[in-house]
Amino acid sequence: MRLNPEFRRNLTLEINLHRLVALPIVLFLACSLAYILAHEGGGLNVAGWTAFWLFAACAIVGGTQLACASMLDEMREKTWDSQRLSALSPWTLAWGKLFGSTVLAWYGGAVCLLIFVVSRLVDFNGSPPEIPVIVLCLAVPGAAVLMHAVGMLACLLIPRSGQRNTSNVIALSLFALFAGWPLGTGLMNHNPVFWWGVSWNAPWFSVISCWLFAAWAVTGLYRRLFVELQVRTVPVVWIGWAAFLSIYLAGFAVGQFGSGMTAGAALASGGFVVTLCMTYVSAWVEKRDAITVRRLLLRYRNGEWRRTLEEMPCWLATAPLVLLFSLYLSMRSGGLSLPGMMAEHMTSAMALVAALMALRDIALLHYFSFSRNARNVEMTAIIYLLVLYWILPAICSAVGLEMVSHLLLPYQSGSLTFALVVSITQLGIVGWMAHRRWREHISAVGGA
Amino acid sequence: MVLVEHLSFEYPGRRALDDVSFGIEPGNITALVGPNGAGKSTLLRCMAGLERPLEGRVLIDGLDVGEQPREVHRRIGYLSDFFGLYESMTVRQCLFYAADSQLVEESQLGERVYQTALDVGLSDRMDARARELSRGMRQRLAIGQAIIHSPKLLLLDEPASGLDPEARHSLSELLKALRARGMTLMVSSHILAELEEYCTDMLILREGRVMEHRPAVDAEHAQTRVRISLSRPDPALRAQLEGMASLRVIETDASTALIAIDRDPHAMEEVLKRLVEGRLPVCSFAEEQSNLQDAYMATVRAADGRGRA
Repeated sequence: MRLNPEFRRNLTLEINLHRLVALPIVLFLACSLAYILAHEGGGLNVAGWTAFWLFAACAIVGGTQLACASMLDEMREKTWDSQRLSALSPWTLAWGKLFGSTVLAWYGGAVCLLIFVVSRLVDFNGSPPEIPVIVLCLAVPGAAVLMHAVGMLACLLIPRSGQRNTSNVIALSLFALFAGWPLGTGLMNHNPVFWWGVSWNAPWFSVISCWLFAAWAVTGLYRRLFVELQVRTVPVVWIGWAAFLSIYLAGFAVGQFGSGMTAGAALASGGFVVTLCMTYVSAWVEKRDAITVRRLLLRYRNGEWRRTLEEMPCWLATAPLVLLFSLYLSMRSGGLSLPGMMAEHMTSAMALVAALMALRDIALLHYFSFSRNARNVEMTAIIYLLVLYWILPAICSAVGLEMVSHLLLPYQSGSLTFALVVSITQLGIVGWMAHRRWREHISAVGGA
Repeated sequence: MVLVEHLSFEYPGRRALDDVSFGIEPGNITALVGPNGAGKSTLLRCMAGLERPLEGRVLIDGLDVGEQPREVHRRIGYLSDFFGLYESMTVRQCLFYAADSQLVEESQLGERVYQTALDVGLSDRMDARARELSRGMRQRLAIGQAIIHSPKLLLLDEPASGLDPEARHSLSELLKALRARGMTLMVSSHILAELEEYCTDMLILREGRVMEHRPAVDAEHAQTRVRISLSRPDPALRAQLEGMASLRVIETDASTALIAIDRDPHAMEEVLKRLVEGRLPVCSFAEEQSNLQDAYMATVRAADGRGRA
């Protein structure tokens, strides 16, 4: 059987005799130091836990840094094109990179894990850990795979105009680490988790969740490589991810609110929140210049349906779902309050308003993206959105112009009809502006 | 081998390729020429499947690049003008990875690495790291990576830029050798003189459009061009030349003339003989290479003339 060429290349780069010998010695010495410094009687226990935290540090922190650096190095050293031109499939490239670039971190982690497990087996007198050893041994690799994949995915999603330099490695590594944080805290939770009305052991629930999310992150990386390698694909996995996340989050809502929340309502609420967030975030991350839109419209006008789906940006694939969920929630009587800060101002009846305002923001983002001298598009859009969502309403409220403030933040008005009219008008105006700028752009390059 | 149909590509605010169509026969070396910003690199990247065009399609060896990019990649080699190498890997490791990632038969990997190193003249530097190589050697290593899987089509974007004359000569020898093995090549370059050494076709791009696609030496160029110089001006030169049916006067004044004549030594001898017999003070009678530069400039001038008209 042929070894994955990308994995083999990474092995060549990352592993040598010196590292193979030195790394275990250094890690063993660190654990030995912990054993010596520990109080009498508890040395083995302390050494074991030192090994565990070193395992987590090697596999999670070190691995995420290596994974991000490997992707960014490809971009910086201009070797990414040669990889894109290879005959390797997206899957071969995905797992070759994911496990190849982090092989040293896994090696160091495995050494620490071995010390940890041995210390737990030998230390008969030590108090049993609050979390079963097997749970810990399964959680860390799951979290590591999740964060490595998220880190690599983030590297690929940096806009082409963005700087793919070393400082990004740190930023992206931190981003990837924070992505796994909520699951990590679940491990420390002693209370059972109620999910879909069933009580689950929290650490085991976290471990299973961690591996499920890791699988999705690897799938996301794999699908992103389809795009990078110019292999055409329709956004089914994106929709699948939205469905999974909706069901996953809805399970907590059913568990949390038990009696009052039906499965349908939970799914609708979960679906709305998930698709809204996914649509919004992907619109910021994806390529959205005038050419991308033009290419999509050309396919559509030519009746090339499969190509239209292939060219469709992910945000556009989930946007109809946002509208559907928001319509459903808005029409439901005796509506459900959305969780968190939004609940203060918005009931489910306002879900449609929230969806329309999100689409307005996306239209604004496109308006700036269609500029002929588009630079720092995201930053420009953020500044305008801060003005629209925060500065202007605050000024208006301060000087007593509540009506103007409601025009900017329609869901604060308390009237669904008013909020709908205002949000549709805002979407219409910004959408028209974006369309006009797009037309100007197309005429400038001599297109139809 | 290559069929490009109605290819259009846009960058924000600019159309880089506009309805480009052409075909390339197997075994040809096509020079892709044009001014900066003409769309040469974009065209090569679209052909390599690295960029997705707005409209149109590219067929390579019968496969649609847009539909089957990975299958096409097994059939092509591509060298970008700003290529990168794995700096910490040795020449041997770089070539091995290139062959491995192109899924060359495992049993042939070692042999293919060695043969390619020989082809590009790096067999004595197998254990040198990429970062230790000179510019010319890096270029050869990059070409080696592009040809290691014996692609049917090789796309080279400015392969000679930054190379010294010796390295350029060895590059042109290598490209000729690849053509002799049946490989089809497309080479973009600003340096037309070097393309002339090995190109069979010329594709001129300007402002994203194909201005001309023609053989580098066409039927008209079955004739050769001869430059005649006199030691002192003689107004009879033009009349003498125009009176000879075996040649065509391209340009002339009282001291020099450029004529087109069959590539036949006897015909040339006859012309020279008649000039001397006509008592013209001929001091030089030398064949002048019809070059890509002339052909390119003629095309550009003709296009400019049409534009003004």
